[in-house]
Amino acid sequence: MSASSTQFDEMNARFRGVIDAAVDGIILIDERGVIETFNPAAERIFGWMAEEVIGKNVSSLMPEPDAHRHDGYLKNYLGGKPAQIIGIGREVVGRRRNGELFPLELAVGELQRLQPRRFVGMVRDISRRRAMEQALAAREQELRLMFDGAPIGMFTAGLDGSFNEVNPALITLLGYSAPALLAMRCADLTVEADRALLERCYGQLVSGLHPSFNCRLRWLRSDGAALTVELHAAVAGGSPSTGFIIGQVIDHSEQLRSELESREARERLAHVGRVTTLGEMASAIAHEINQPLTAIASYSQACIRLMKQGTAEPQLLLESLQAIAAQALRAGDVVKRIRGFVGHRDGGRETVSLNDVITSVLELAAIDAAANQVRISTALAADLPQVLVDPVQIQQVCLNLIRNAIDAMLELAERERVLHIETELGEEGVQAVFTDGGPGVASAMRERLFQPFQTTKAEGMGMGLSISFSIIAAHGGSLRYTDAPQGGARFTIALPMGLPVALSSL
Amino acid sequence: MTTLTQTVFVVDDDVAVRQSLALLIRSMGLAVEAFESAQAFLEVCVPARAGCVVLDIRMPGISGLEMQEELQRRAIGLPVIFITGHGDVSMAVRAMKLGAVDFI
Repeated sequence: MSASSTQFDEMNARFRGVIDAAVDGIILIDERGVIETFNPAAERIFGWMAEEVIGKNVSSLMPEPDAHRHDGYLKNYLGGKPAQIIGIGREVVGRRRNGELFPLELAVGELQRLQPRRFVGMVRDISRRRAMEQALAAREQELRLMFDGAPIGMFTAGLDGSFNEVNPALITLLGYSAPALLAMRCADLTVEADRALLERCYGQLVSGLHPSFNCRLRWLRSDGAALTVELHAAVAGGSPSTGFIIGQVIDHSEQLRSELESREARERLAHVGRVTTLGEMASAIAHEINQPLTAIASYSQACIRLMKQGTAEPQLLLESLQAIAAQALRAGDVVKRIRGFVGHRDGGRETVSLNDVITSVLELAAIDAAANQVRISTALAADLPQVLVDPVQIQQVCLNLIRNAIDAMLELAERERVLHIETELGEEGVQAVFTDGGPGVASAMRERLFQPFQTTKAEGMGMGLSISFSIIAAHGGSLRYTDAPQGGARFTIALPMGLPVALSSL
Repeated sequence: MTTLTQTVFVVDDDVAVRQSLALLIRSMGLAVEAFESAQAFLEVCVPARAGCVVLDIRMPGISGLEMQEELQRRAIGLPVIFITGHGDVSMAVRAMKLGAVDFI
């Protein structure tokens, strides 16, 4: 008896120890809901000391409406109704001593072998876990809002490029429905010609060679329209081991379109400038065409007359006809040069020698120079690097500078009417220097020299230099004025040498 | 060349125009002498020559109008016919006042 009593005491002490050491709160109540045991963990959770709550109804640990319904729950169960919580466990709300409510996980067991029956509640404070979950959910919500609200297209994709998630901006940009997009890969959107580039970039990403890439691609919308997009893709977390890619897609089509439009506007202006320049040269050009026509008319009349008189020697006729043919070609040549200069072109840039551009413009300028008794001397440097330019536009600038120089020298004696054109390699690149012997530009005019509608000519529009300036600027070069050492005007065109950095690999 | 020979003197800096005019005038049975500049003509021209001058206005060096004045100064009474691809009214008026026969 005493042995069994000792054994019982020892077991009791052992259970007591377990209960006291438990991490979870353990609360024992009787059939009426009165608290019999309240372990230290429960004390920590609820803020009550055991002696303060033992003997009180467990409902004091709950908020309303559970608090006043709890007795009813017990009665229902004891009356044979199915258990709502016993043996099941669920998340409920507890009330601490200071009135604070908190989420807790509650498991309730029934101690059926004791009489009267008792119930044990195991309580775990999950307020911290719940707070973390809520913070995570809020964070995810934030990220989701960013993703969904981003003005640029965003996606996540697997390492094979198949989309996992796409944001509304991307859906709008591409015109596909979300499910349709999710069944696609980046490569499916990319035009055939750009796929190799995309594959190369992806390959470097997936192999871990680069954590991210940027490339310009042409993508096709669902309606077949082509877009030019900048794709920035990065492996998540900076390593392919995370298994997915984050992508951003920026549509450059609009920007490219406006760049194209401004280029077209500049070309239209340049065209107007060329027509204007030719208009100023009209009298000289008319003369240049009229001379061969006069010769042709005279030769023909002479031949007709000689043949009618029957005095035409075959040799003389032959020479005359040869002369007529040569003069017709001469007139045609002038027309051809003018047409090449004035025609609308697509403004394509070519890698050319600046010397060649100047030599070709001199053919046209020579007409004007000769008509005005101006001599043009040249010193073109050999072995200049090539320049990437629109040759016709550069010709236009040169012709404009030559015309200005000719106009500036009309008041001079004929032998003083000399325009010197030089090419050289300068600090700013390949340069062409035009030096005339005229009076130079008055200091009051100098500041506004390259602005539109500034002119010193009675019939001038004042567009020539401003158009020239914008043409050279569009080529990344500069057009400057300085006084020539001997007093005339000196204009210097500087063009960057070689190939400028290409906009993209496409 | 006798003083009685009538000669048409063609003065034009453009070789094709000069040669074609010379051929045309020769085909009419007239004697022709062609010159590439006013200077070249003035060097050989003496008051005794008879005929007429077919003269281009715009030429490097001495222009047609200047040459016409020079002929008057030298009292060379050769009639002058101006031909030009880019004449204007004031040019024509000036030429006619100096006694040009025609301005084509």
